[in-house]
Amino acid sequence: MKNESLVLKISRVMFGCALLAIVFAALFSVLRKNGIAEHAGVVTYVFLVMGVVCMFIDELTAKQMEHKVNSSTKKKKKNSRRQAV
Amino acid sequence: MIFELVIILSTIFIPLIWFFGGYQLFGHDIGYHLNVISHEISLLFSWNSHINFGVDWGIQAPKSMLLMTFPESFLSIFIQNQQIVQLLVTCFWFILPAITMWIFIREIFYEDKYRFFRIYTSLFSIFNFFLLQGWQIFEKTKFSVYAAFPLMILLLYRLFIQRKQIVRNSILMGLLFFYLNGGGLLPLFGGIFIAFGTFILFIIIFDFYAKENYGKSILVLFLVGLFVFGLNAYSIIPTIGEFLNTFSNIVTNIGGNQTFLEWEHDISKNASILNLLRLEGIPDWYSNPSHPYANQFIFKRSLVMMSFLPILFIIIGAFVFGIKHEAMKSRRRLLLYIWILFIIGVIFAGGSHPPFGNLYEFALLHIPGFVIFRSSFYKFAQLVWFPVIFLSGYYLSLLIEKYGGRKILKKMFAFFCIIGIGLYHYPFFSKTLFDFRSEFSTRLQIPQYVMKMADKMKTNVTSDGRILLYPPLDIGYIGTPLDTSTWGYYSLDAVPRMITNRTIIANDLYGPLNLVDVLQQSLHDGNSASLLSYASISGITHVLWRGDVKRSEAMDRDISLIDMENRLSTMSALSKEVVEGPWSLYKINASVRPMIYLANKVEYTNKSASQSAYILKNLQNDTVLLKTDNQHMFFEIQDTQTLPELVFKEKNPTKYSIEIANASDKPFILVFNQKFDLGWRATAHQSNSDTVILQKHYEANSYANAWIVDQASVTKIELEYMPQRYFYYGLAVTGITIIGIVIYMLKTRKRIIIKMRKQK
Repeated sequence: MKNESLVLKISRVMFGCALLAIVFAALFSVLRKNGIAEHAGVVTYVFLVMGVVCMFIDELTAKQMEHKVNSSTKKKKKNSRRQAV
Repeated sequence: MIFELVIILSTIFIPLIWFFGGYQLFGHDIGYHLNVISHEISLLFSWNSHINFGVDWGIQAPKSMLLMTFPESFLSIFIQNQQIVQLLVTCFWFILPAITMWIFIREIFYEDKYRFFRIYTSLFSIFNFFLLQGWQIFEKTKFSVYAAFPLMILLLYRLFIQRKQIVRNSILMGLLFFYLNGGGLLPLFGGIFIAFGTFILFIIIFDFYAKENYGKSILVLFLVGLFVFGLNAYSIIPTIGEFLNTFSNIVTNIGGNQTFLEWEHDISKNASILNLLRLEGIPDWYSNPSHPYANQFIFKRSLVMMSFLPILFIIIGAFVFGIKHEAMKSRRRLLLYIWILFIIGVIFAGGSHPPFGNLYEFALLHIPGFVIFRSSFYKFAQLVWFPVIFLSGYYLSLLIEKYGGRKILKKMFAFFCIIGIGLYHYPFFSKTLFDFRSEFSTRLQIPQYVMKMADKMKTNVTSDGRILLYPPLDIGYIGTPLDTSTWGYYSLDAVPRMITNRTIIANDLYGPLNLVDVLQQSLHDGNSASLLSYASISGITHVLWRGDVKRSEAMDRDISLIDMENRLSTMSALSKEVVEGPWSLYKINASVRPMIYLANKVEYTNKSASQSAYILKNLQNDTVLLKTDNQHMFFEIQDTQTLPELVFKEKNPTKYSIEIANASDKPFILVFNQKFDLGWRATAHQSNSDTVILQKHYEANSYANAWIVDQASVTKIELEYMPQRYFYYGLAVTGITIIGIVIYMLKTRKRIIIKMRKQK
């Protein structure tokens, strides 16, 4: 958790909020207040979407960094081969 | 691995509970024919001459059904008892989704620590309410698409994430949908299309930083398309051919897009986001007041609470672990994809239900072809069920591993979770799940007299005989003709059609209702003269009386069953041939017009079939009633000439050969007593070897086909149902594809053997 990016921390918060919302939804469903439960269900979904979007951004960023590292490694290898020649 | 498989395979015995006591799954939309082999053969042809006066079978039964019904056909060759055959087939379809899910998870999450994950998801894959709803009508087509789903994801993972063996995995994708083809019913593939499209989009976005992969991805897409199309061409090409000709008619006839919207609203009424997250929202639960178990899950507090557990585990797991927990990049990508699929799935499965309902309605009204997904829940719910099952299993396994404490406690918790799946879905273990109405069920004990009558119909009625059902099918239940019985049968498919390959005529949606109505009215009135007149023209040779129908209240008011049967018994036009229980087979005491005959006496009408049926009553024996607006073109047909002789032979249901002898130069009419359809083509061969396609094709006698033959010296005429050719073209493409795959696999095998020898 300490080395997590900001985006991942946000996703964790979103999932935490989703957890609260689903607990409310469960509670109101059991109490047969279906109208409120349905709204809590929608809120849960919204937080889930936001959490997934954050995970997606994080993974995409990691892919971008990986690509940059690979590109620079390839360039270094090319240069060292030229120097050797 | 063996331990996991033993646990999963032990569930194969659950269908035994349903079949115990001599029961079978029959009726409603099950569509299971007890005359399995003859039904399988009928699927090879695009015309079925045994349903009413003939029907375009390519539309009603896509060719993909050939493979879908192959297991029962194959078993029926060796096993006579249809109950055992159906039991074995049921066990196969019951266990298949678990096996495919297990293969998928095992390939990617193969470590021992994921054992619980593999068992949990495999069992949850079969024990869930989405499938249970399908079991009520033994919906094999849905099960096949459902079972294919995890394997499709696995193959996409291999092709686009692991990027290995692209030709071999593309072939496997083709083979997957070759057998698990959903019966060729395109609407069932809604979830598959969305999952596939989402995966491709997902890969495109991630490969943005590795654009060199785009070329490979395009090649993979091409190969997948090639093998899926190639292997399924035998079904796709006929379907495209039929669909292009009839789709606009179907939309207009059923009432256009507005009717589809109303149906969609009905289906999605309870598909709220909350219900979907809890793996509920199944339309039948809320629309059927006599549902066998739904009320328990809607109202009982303990079950309501338990319904939240899977989504709770997912959210807790996402909060604690996310996807970063996975060290392997490929697994992280897969997890992320499944999360995205879940999010998108909720939108599609919710259909026209708020908050995304307007988008779905817009798609239904404005995207060409989207209307085939008009019952969104049934088409897209798998996009929710699959991710919830997968993610809940994944995160629950991680949670147990991290917080389960000692090994013994972890095992106990895992055990209770697995048992809990079965206990929560307890309706699977009850027989009442098939009772969709108080007096009707799809789990039935078929009376012995039904099968005995099936045998008698085979011996007493020739293959070109036609059997009229009486009493009529009942429209009092749902406004559409239904076959119902006192032993619980309820279906749009009449029982006799499911037990024999003899031609059965009923007042059902296959039509033509007008002619069947006048025939049944004659029986109702006890009018022998009328019956003989209509029966002669329509080729009806027998009447099947069934005293075990369960009539609706609307029907009962008119006349009692006893009075109806008494009238039949006293009619001079009928002789009772066979009695089996409350079923009786009567023979009509008159000769009927053969399947193919010639005529040179004509009457004309420009009335529609529904109006002209009544004219048939007074039609002379040797006269044909032609429907046309232009009578003048027939002036050359004179009734004073002697007609040629003919001998016809049925080569198959889509091809007839007619030998004509002593044909003169005078024109005559060829009448073919199958339902009028422009797909039938008549080709005349003349004595000078010329071949001519007969263009003057008309509707005759309110239902049949007639051609004016005005060519000289015709010696032979061939009748062919042209849509059958689409099947032959498709079969050729499929055959070539299979040969190509076999050659490739042999070459690959040879290469591998050579490589292994070199290494040694």
